[in-house]
Amino acid sequence: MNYSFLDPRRYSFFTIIGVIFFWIYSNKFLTYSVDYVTQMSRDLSFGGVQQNIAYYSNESLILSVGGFLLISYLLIQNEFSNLFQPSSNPSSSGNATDIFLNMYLWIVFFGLLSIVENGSYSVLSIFTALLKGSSFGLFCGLFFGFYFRGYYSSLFAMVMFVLSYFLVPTLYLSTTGIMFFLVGGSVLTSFLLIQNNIANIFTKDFLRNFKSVRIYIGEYLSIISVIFFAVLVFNISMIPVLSDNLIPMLSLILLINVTYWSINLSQEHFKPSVQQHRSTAIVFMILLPLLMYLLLRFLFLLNHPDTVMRNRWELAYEFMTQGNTFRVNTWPFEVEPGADSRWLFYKAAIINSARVTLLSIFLCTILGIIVGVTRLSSNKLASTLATVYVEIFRNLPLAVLLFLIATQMGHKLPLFSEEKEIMGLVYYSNQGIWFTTVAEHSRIFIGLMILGLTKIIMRQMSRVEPRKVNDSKRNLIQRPFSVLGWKFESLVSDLFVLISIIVFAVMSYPFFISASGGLACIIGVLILIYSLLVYTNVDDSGINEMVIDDSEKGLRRSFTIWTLSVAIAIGIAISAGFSHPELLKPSLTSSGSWRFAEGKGFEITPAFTAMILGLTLFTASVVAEIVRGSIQALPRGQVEAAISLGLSPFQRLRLVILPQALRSMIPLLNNQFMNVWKNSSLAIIVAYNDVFYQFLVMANNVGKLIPLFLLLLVTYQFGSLMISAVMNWFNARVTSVKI
Amino acid sequence: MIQDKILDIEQSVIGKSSSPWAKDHNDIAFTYVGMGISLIYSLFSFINITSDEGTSIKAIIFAVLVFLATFLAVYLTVTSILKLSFRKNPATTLLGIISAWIIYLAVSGFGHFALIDAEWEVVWANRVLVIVGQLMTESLTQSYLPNQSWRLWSVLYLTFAIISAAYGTTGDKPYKFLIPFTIFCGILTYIAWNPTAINYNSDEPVMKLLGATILSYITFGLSYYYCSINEEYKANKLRSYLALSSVFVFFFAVFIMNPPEAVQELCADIFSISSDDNIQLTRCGGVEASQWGGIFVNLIVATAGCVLGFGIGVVLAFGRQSELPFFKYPSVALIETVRSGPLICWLYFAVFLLPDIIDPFMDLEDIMRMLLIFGLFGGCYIAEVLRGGLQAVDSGQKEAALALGLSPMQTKLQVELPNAVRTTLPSIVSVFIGLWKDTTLLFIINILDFFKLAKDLPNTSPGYLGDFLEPLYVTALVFWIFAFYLSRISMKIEKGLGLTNEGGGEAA
Repeated sequence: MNYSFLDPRRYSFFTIIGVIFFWIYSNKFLTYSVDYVTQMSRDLSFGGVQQNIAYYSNESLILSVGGFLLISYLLIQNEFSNLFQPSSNPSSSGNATDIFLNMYLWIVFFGLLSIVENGSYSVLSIFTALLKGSSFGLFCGLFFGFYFRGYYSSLFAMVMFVLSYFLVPTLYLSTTGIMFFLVGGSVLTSFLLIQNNIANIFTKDFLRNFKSVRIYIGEYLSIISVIFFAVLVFNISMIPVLSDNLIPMLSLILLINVTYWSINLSQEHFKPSVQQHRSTAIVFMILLPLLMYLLLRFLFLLNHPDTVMRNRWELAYEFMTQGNTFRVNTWPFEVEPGADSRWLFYKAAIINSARVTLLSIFLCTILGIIVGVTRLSSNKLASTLATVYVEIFRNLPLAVLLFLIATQMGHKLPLFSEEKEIMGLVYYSNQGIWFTTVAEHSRIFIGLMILGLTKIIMRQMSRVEPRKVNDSKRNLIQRPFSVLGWKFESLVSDLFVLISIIVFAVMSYPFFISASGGLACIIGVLILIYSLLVYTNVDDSGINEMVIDDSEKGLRRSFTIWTLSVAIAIGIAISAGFSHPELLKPSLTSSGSWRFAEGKGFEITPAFTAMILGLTLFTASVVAEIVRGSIQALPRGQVEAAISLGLSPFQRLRLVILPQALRSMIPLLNNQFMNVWKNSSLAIIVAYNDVFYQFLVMANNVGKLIPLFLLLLVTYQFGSLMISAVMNWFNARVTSVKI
Repeated sequence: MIQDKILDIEQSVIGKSSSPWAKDHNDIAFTYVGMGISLIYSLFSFINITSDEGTSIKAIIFAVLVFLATFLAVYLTVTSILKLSFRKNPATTLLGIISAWIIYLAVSGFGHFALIDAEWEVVWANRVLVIVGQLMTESLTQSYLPNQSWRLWSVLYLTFAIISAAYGTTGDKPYKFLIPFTIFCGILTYIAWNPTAINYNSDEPVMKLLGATILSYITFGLSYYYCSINEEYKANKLRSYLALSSVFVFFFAVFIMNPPEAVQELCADIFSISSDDNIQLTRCGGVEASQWGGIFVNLIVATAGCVLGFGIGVVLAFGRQSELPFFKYPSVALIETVRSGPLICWLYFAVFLLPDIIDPFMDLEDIMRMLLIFGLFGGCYIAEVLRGGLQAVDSGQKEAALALGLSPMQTKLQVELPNAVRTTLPSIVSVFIGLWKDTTLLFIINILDFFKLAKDLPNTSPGYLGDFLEPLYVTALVFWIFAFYLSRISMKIEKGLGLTNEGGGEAA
């Protein structure tokens, strides 16, 4: 016997086991499905009150199950993907039907329509309306697309879905009827899919030669099964053999089909496209009982008769508007237990998470670059030490590291009552660190802005007329200041960036310290993004061309300017004086009552310190490896050229090696930064109040696990997307210059 | 010349001398002066320590270590000042001196903890507990429970045999495996034999460990001999069989630890144990998954992440690569959803929400669900890695397969997959390292893994109440050793495949 590869008959033993396994599996899962459908469709209303908690109306059941079957059908049929491509026929362009064939137009139109129609303007309801509207638009678009392009197989499925959605609820079927309609319908769908001949039925060929049964046996089989199914839906008890043994019968149909087609398909005598289609269909058929089970179980859980279960799964976010009673330690937005809603608690927790993530990213990049460069240094002692550092921290589990750091800190740091201090400026204990800051933090920001202004002025002074200007991006949106000429356009766009940073800071500040201010923050972010885009476009056009004056005089002048501006910046920052931490001792003897005065000095909690230490030390070891790999990947000639130009080691690193290594570093760093964001969820180990901690507290309090879990996933996904958006922008900036 | 060597080393660490007084001819003299000063200083610290901490062996070792570190740090500092070497190349000098002082701080701080402060007895007393968990420990040390340790030993024997056989196929020199392996087994035997705070009869485990070692030697020898007399393709075949059997060991371990009830009853019939007894309390009853503990849990969960994860990863990677939307979109959705959340999200999902979904047809214990979720989580990461490999497969390979008349399935499984796995193996191993480290998160959902048990060791007896740092350091060490070993394997594979970057620039 010469069976082909994967032919079931080649492995007869396994085939028999497979058949038995499939029989058991299919019976088991179909039983559950039938059970759930029966429970969910049983109408027990007395006097208008529904007694059956798990009850779904026939429409919603058909919408869910039928929708799932329709989506699977369309996915397997794979005709819809042609609709998303512009029509390949050049003669039809400009045709009136073209507008019906543009999928995106449908989706956008109905999506916008649903938003307009939707009365409430909360984020959640807009999102839901958008989802509904665009899926409706997609449905209509697909329908017309299939009709005009002649994809009758998919069109048939959509018509069937519409028919059953509108007709079946009006038939007042019995519970058994609905059950058979849904479960039997799913089996029928998979059967029709694997037959793959719906489209043939609508061809002229078939209508002309329909008497030749021998050629069209498959088509006849499909038609008969559909009619048989339709008849049975009305009265399944007509055939007691079937109605009594419904599940084994359906399983048998599945089993026969799966076995027959798997043997047939393994011969590989179909056309490749048919082969592909039927292979997909057979996978769907094999998975069908499981998929049906998962879907119906999910629907059942949403309306579960058990209160606890229903509470856990019900997708509703009302509880988030109620007050949270748990005390959490957040900064800078401090929430009030009992008074503030859970949304605000969640916001505060997100700020907490973001704070720890951003600081860790910043620190671990610096430390990672230092360690990575040190690893390659010719100083054997230092490079060995760096290697040891990397090997130690890269191979430690972060959870153990965080726990170890927290424990070690609690063990080594002095007790609060010991009043350890450094000249009254810094108090440290295992309860936290308090240190002196400037009295008004906004003045630090002003100082930084002055430094930024100095930088802009220095750039302007050394700017020269560009040799090559790329004017392809010269429009009012991308380069609004292009009328000013090369000298002032770049100056104004630099200033624009600085101003929008200030605007962003001012507008978003309320958002980070209070309950409101979301809209202003979004506007600020948009302005900032726009200013950066303008800056990028100006830079890419080659207008920012500079010649650094490195004569002795020029260096002295730039040194003087920088010294002056740093002095001014520091002067402004400290002009409002300092704020020292102040230890209050209501009772001198009992150190338990001691505390630091509110609003004086600056406190860092031990949890925050432990998080920062752990995340930074751990991630820096990975970043160091990335830095080392990127530097090693550089061509050796670059360094040699830098040496022969007479650059000092530091100049070599700063001007030649790192800028080039950055190009290959950024995609890898992006990954690591997203890992930092995800790893910040380990804050629970050191009892730092981050998003995950907040999720746990709320889940414990209200038990709404599924809504909270979805919220959590969305939060982490959103953060990851933000990080990768910033990094991709940065990557585009760095790689825009081709070398 | 020894003088030149000393000078070479010194200059590589703190740079060349650039003072007007230390020239080539008297350079070494200044080195000697620096060494002398440093020697005197560090001798003082040596005497200080021995007078403070007594003259036990540990204290002497500590004192010697501190002596060496102090000597290095002070010598480098003093010499660089004497020779003004920071004038010419401040970065190198600074790096050298800072490194020396960091080493000094690390040695004195950590050495003081490890050799003077720490009470390691808490770990020795609970060594069985952190390896096999509570119930197995009781069954080892108490008489009212049947001794179930043979289940673990059988897994251990199989693992040792397979690993050493796998080393036999690498074609390295035998000593490269035998020496480290012997040392490793020696350490294991020492841990089993050490009489400090011992609460079990050490003869049995020591003998069994020796047996496992000898078995490993035999399998290593056999596979080494087989590979050396046969062609390469036969060695490859042996490798793939070994890989398959390591998958088998995973399932065998789950099976043998907690056999299905039918098997337990069959066993009871064979050994004619009367049905009146509770079968769980006899030799035939397995160890329920909820009773597993210690490093065994970490190992089995991490292995699940590898074994199940690889299977799931291959399916998802091909699904994502596929042109058929029925496979593509669900794979993309699953991979992106799972990767969007951190692992502890999914652990909580597995504990609280997964039971709701699978309870009707399967009543799984927590650890079993962890196996599943680690498999899924690892699978999604491996899928992404494999996808990169699949994209990188030369299209000529696929075309050749097509021209040979292979079916799409054959092309995928026998041409594309091996190519992709070959290039991505180092990345896959680093996913495994990640999974291994992530098993420590199991403690958050109260599974008694190594970390959780170690964390709670001080509570086992009033005598150990303050010793909470020692178990943590031991945990860190144990997890570190495994991860480090895996990363060496990854590097070795990388080197074997010729994927490492040669050359490159020197930075500073």
